[in-house]
Order: sequence, then C-alpha cells, then structure tokens
Amino acid sequence: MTAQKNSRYGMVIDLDACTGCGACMVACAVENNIPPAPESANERTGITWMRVYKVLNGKSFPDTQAVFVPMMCQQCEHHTPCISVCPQKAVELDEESGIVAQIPVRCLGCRYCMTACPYHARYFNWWDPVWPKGMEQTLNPDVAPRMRGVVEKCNFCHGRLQAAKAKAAAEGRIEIRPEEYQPACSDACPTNAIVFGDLNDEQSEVSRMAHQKDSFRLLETLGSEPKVYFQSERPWVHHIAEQDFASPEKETVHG
Amino acid sequence: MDKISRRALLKFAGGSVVGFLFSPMPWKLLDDTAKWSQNWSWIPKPPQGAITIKYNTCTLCQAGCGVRVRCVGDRPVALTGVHDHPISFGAMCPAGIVGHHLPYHPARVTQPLKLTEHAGSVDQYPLQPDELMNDLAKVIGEAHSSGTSVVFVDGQPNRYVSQLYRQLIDSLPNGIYAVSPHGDAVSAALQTMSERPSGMLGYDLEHARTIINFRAPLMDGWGTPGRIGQIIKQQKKVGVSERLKIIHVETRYSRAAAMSDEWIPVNPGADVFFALGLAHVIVREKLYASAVRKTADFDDAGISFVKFVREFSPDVVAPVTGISADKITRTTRELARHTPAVVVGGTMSDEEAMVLAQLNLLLGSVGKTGGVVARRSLPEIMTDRRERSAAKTIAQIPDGSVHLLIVDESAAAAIPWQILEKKLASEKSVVVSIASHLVGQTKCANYVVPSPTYLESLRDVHSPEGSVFASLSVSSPLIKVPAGVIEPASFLQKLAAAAGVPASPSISSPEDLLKKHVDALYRSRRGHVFVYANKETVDISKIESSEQLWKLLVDGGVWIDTSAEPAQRLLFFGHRKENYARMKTFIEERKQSAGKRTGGFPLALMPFRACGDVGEISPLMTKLYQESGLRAMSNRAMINPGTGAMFNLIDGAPAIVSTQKGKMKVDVRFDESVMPSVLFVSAGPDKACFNHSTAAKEENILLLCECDTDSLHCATPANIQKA
Repeated sequence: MTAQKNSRYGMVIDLDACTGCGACMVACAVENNIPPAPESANERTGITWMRVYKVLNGKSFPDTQAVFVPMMCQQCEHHTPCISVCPQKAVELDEESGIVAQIPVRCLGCRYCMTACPYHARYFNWWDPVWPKGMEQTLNPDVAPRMRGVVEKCNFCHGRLQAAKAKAAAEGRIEIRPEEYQPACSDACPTNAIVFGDLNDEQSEVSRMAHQKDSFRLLETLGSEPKVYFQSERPWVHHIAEQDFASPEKETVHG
Repeated sequence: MDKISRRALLKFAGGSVVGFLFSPMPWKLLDDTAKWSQNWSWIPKPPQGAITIKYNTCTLCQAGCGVRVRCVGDRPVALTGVHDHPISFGAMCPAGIVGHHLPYHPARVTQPLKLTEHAGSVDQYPLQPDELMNDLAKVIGEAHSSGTSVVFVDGQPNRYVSQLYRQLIDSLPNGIYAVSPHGDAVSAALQTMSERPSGMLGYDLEHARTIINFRAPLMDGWGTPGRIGQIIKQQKKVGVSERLKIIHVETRYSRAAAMSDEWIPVNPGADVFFALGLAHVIVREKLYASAVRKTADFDDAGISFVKFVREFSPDVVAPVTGISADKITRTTRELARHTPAVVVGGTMSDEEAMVLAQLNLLLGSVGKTGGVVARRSLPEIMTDRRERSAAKTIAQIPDGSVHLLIVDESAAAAIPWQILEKKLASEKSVVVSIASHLVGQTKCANYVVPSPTYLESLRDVHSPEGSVFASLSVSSPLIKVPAGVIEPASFLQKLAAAAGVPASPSISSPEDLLKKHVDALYRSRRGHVFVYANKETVDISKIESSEQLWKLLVDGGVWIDTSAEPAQRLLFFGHRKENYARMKTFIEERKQSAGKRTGGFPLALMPFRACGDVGEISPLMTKLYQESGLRAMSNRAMINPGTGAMFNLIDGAPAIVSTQKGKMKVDVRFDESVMPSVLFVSAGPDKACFNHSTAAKEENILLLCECDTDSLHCATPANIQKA
C-alpha cells in the first residue's frame, strides 16, 4: 500500500456479522473527541459520526427479521454532493487518500451539506462541546474538539492516517502497512464485521471483498460512487440498498 | 458644484446598498460573525504529556477482557482490546471501551452519604466516615437485641475478595452473607444434578453443531464479546451445511434473536413448556443419547423423568407456548440429528434452569466435546469451616427478618428493589449501598458508602460465563482513588470494629488475599499465562516464582487452565429427593399463571434490559441510548403497531402504562417484531445515568412488575392508554 500512489481508502461491512453492539459508535466518539449529548439532545440533534441502524424486513410478527447497518460518511468519490454545495470550500476530496475531509474552521454552519447528503451522515454542532468535569482529561490529544455551529462527519480517523505516515517516515518508509492504519470503528468491531483498507490495492482484503457477488453499496443509482460497501448472504438485506432508512430516525421528532 | 438633491442622496444610498450586497463584504461579515460566536476559550483542550501504553484487565463484568490502555501523562485516554487474547480475542464491549470515563462521572460518590426521599427527589447529606460508622454500629446493636439479621448481598461472589467479605460478615452478630441470582442458571442447575460436588460448567460452543438458546443474550454481552465474535467469524469460513445453527427461544425479538438462525417466539412465561415439549418428543421418539437409559431416575419406579415429561406432548404445550405441535416436533428432531447440540439459558428460575439442564442430559451433551464441560476449580486457601459457610441466595432469606441490609452495587443492579424491601424487618431497618455512583437502585438506600470504581483498585476476575477452562486475571489500579472513597473490605473491617467485634487473625487486605491465591495457583503448577504486552504464552512450569506470576498478572496477563474436569455422572433430579416434588409444584403453578390476564389488564408487560444497561455507564453511552435508536433508554415501550392502534396509541407519543401496582409514563414506539398483546418496556438506564441531575428519584418500569421468589421479574398483566 502506498499513500503516495493515490490510495482509495474504503470499507466493506459484513452485515451478517454485525451484532449491533455499538462498540464502533463509542470507539469513534472516543477517538474523535465527540462529546456526550446534552440533556435535550435526541436522535435528530445528537452527533454520531458512526451510527448503527436497525433495519427490519418490513414483515409483521412473527416473520420479522432485522439487520444492523453501521452507517457513516460513505466517502462519495464522484460528484460528491456535500462538496458540490459547500459555499465555503469546507469539504474537500483528498486525491491522495480518497477521503472526503471536513474542515471545521472553514465551515460557516449553513448546513447545506447536510441537506445534500443522501446518507444523512453529517451532523451539526447545536451546542458547545462539553464534557463532565474532569472527563476532558480523557480526550484524545491527537484530535481537536469542534465548536458549536459547524458541521462534522466521519473522516476515516484521518489523524490515524497521519500518525501512520509519520511512523513510516520515521522508519525510512513511504508506504504504510495495512495494519498501521485502521479507523477506530474497524479496530473496535468484536466480530471484524468492518474491514478497512485501500480499494486500489488489488491484494487487499477490502478490495477482494468489495468485488464479491454479495457486496453492494447504498443508493448506488445516485452515481456518487461511495467507497463503503456492504455484504450479506441474505437476499432481503440487499433491498435496503435503495432505501433511505436513516431518514425516519434522523428527520423525525418523536413525542 | 451642484447642490446634492434628496433624490441624488437616495440614489447614492441605494447604489451603496446594492453594491455592498454584491461585494464579498456581507459574506465575510457573516462568516466572521459565525466564527467569533463559535470559538470560545472554554472549548476543552485535550491533555498533553508523555504517551505510554499500559495493559490491564476489564472488571466491569465477569468477562475479564484484556485491555490495552493508552495514557497521556498518568491519565488513560483510550481503551482497546488486546489482540490474540485467548479469552477476549481483542474485542471489547461498548461499556468497556469507555470504562475510563467512570471516575469522572457526574454521579460519582466520593464521600459517605445519608439519603432521604422527599417529594420524589433524593436529598443527599454528606457524612464523615466516623459518623457513618457510629450510625451503623447502633443499627447492628439494634439488630442483635431484636434478633434480626445483618445481611450483606454480594453481586460478584466468585471473586477472591468476596471470601474476605464473607469472613467479615460471618464475624458480625446475626451476620448473613448472601449472593444475587446466578447469571448462568443452567450451569448452576447442572451442578445440583451431579453425583459429587463439581465446579462451574462451561459450554463448548466452538465445537457444537446446534445451540438452542433460551433467553441468554448470546450476542449481547454473554460470555465475552470476543468469543461470540470469533464463533461468528469462524462460521463464515465453512460451508453452509457445516455451519453451527443457533435457535433462539424468547418472546422478544432481541439482538440475540436477530443474530440467530431461527427465532422461536414463545408466549410470555411459556419457555419452560416449550422445553418440556422438546423433552417429551425426545423421550417418545427415543432420540436421547444411549447412556441416558442408565441414569437412575430416567425411568425409575419412584422418581421418573419419563413420567415427568409424559403429559407435555406437543399437542398439549402448543396452545400454551404459541408454537405449533409440528414445529416443536421438527425442532426436536433437528436437535437430535445435528449433534453435538447444547442447551443454553439466561437468567431464570432454578426450576426452569433444571428443565434446560435435563434437556442437555437427554441430548447427551454433558461432558462431551461440543457440549457442557466442567471447569476445574481454582486452588482454595481458606480452609476454616466458618470461612467456607455456604452463601444464601436472597430467596433463602426470610421476609421481614433483616435490620441492616448492605448491598454491593452490582447486586443492587441485579435484584429488584421490591425483593430487597420485603426482607426488611421494619420501617426503621436500614439499607446501605456500597457504590461508586449514585445511580439506579442505589438511590433507594439510606446510606451510601463510596467505593472505588474501575481502574482505581486491585480486583481479580475469574472465568467468564460459559467458558470451558478456568481463568484468572488481575486488574491493577491506574487512576488515583479520590480522597473519601473507602475500599469495601476496609469498610466492613471498620464496621466490625465499630460493632465491637474482635478482628479475626486470618483477615487480611484484598492484596494479601490475592497474593496468597496466586501463590496457591503457582504451586498447583497448572495452566499457562498469556502476557498482553508481547502476546506470548508462558507455561507455568517456566515461571520461576509466585512473585513472578503475580507480576505477570498485574502488569497485564491472564492465567488459563489447560484442561477441564472429568465428566460427572448426573441425575435428572439430583440427589435431593424434594427436587422432584419441587419441580412438579413449579410446573403446576406455571400452568395456572401462563397466559393469565386479569380484568382491565389485557396486555402482558415484559420489562427488558441488556447487559450493561444497569449500574454505572459512561456519559458517552448517550451515543447508543439517547442520540440513536440502537438501545432503549428506560421506560421506552415497544408495541406491535396493530396492538398500538387498538389502544389508540401514536408512534413516538407518550402513554400511561398501568398494572395493579401503579401507573407510569412511557414513550411508545411501534415495532413490527413485537408479539401482539405484549408490551415490552425497557428497564435500561435513564438520563441520570449519563450526565444529568442525580437528585430525581428514578421511575423504573420494574417497580410496576411482579417478581417471583428468585428475584426475577415476570410477565405482568397491564394496560396502556394515550397520555
């Protein structure tokens, strides 16, 4: 794997192995210094760069089946919707890694990108980031907390990529090894349901899995070429590819 | 120069406005204003300092996962799993990943508290340790004079430090050491069925071909998250026909049910009849293992298992369970065909567990590869008879007999408050909670003794639930304990001294006790140690001294036994003759109560909570409970849309649930997977468990539910109406 040769970092998520435990969600929050929710936050206003949705097969009891779908920024490669609408150039596609980067200091907070994102994978900071007293001592020193009024999202733990590059450089290498760069979610997954790597590297596990017949991408017909693939042996699960299943949870206010 | 006309001035002003609007200035002003109002000095700055890696073992539950701790200065900032760990396989649960936040939880208790309830809120009065001891010494004196008891309830009785607690409680006048119900009731039932006393039992799931699981949260915290994850991973590598089949029996479509190959949704409280139906078909069609015939009480003239299950034909149990007779028969045949098959159960009554244990015996899975295997016990160092007195279960303590009830925080989380309250002798009786956080049922106590939390004290972790081999690891303190926090053993020692009880010469500190056990383990020359830092496995024969073994464990290591106990001979009803009669009575009672609905309460209310839903959890767990719909916060009700419509409920709107015990407001969500006429309500954490006010008394659905004698909540007749 060579970061210099324009990598295309991506993921394959095995939906048959995901138990919906949520370890990826909290590991992501710890790694990226995402604060706990204030009391008034809810499913619409909370910040979860990685969110696991429970999606049902649409059948009634007792024929109901469920699948847990981990959902984060799908790192769209082509006509990336959030990039095309940002008036501030606060979203950029890093040609070298294929990662869609969010630059909080440029963000104006207009939330146009949130409207444009077909995956509902962008989050707005409605509140100042606050940790209970003393808990700020547990923050990750490699990531700066974002301020109120800006949008944020998954960046495949970009800080870890930089750390891996620095480590490789210190050892006189340009290439980074696959095990040196893993996002917090794939690192934390107890069933290894999240496989991460360079899709451009034909020898990589992620590239091999992405080309298997059980693999699919969400809302592929939009043509935005997301770099997150999903996999399942269950035929009905493939139907979720064309569903906007995140919308009810993200856009509905209950109660 | 022409005079500036009013018209010219207006034209100039209008032109300026239009020009300004077309210039970058408004945009820049808007941008800068947004940024000035966003960047404030109080946005936290991450800590700086030397980055070090330490290794430890998680003690938040019995799993004992290996933990790699990333520290900045002396503060842990990230916990991740230890790759290649033979028990946890590099995995951790969400609660474990954020365990390092617990010392800073807003509900943390750092000095003794006296609690009083006033108008629905809990008033807290800080006490000095001496004041607390004096108050409690008086209560012990009152208990002694009135002939009532002082009871300590231990939620994790298999720790070595529990032996110290037991010794100290036994030394008090009328002191009783009690334990909370066992999470693996089937294993406990198999122990009671063996001919000779045996150690705990484990499940060889890795070699099983079929697992039939009754309510155990197999993919939701049971055993270790890594072990189940490993099994799932391995299954993907083999052909479909060779794969392990998991059948899940539970009324609720839980995460374990969703991850299973087949879900059998039995009617509320009817699991035991489904199991008896399976046993009936095995006996009727002679599908049992050949050795079963030799079991003394299989078909004896007196106590006979064959006679016991005769009346539970599939046709009889089908209406009770809601599962067709044909389905029961087909499932049984599949179990018998795809062996080894193993029956696993969650938290349940002793009698229900015994039926599942009997199924294991019938299927010939006891003592077999891919079945139920006995773990070898760890060497004992306490040989004094008093020190080894049998612990009582909370059900064995008579109602109205306790004057001072001391509850460990994990026991407080596991046992319904109604059960604990019934044990109290009078209104003047006192409840003391030893807890690190003021959450959940701890708020029901009269006094709170602040205890160290995770990563603050030395703790031992024994074999995880269901593991085949015995194991031992030690968690060493990484964070300084706040002033005012009291070690539970030290509290009990001081309590004994305040009550005028002379200290027993064999009482030592938890560290001394642990070291003695590690020394005994070293001398047994059994097993090997996996060292987290270098991922090496060291045979115990290669370890030079018990001090070296101790150092390996406290620096991050796990000792694992290398073999299991030989198979024991089992009886269907054990050696206690009364077991048969007890089982018959239990089944009769269940028959009476199954499907019972009283007038005005047409629904079956079933509370639910997952592992980690109780006790202290990091404020960051809002990601799972509050900021996403992945897990349900307390008092969230799940109902079938059809049933909801019948009761005029609206998805997402509040409603009032009522039972004979009272009413409570819930938040309704429609869910297609819910059985009609059943109402599931989460007993999980409320907002106070995260980062909000600790003063309010928590309303929990468990207070509306009925409990059986084994401290378990039963399906309760209920009603629901729009709020």
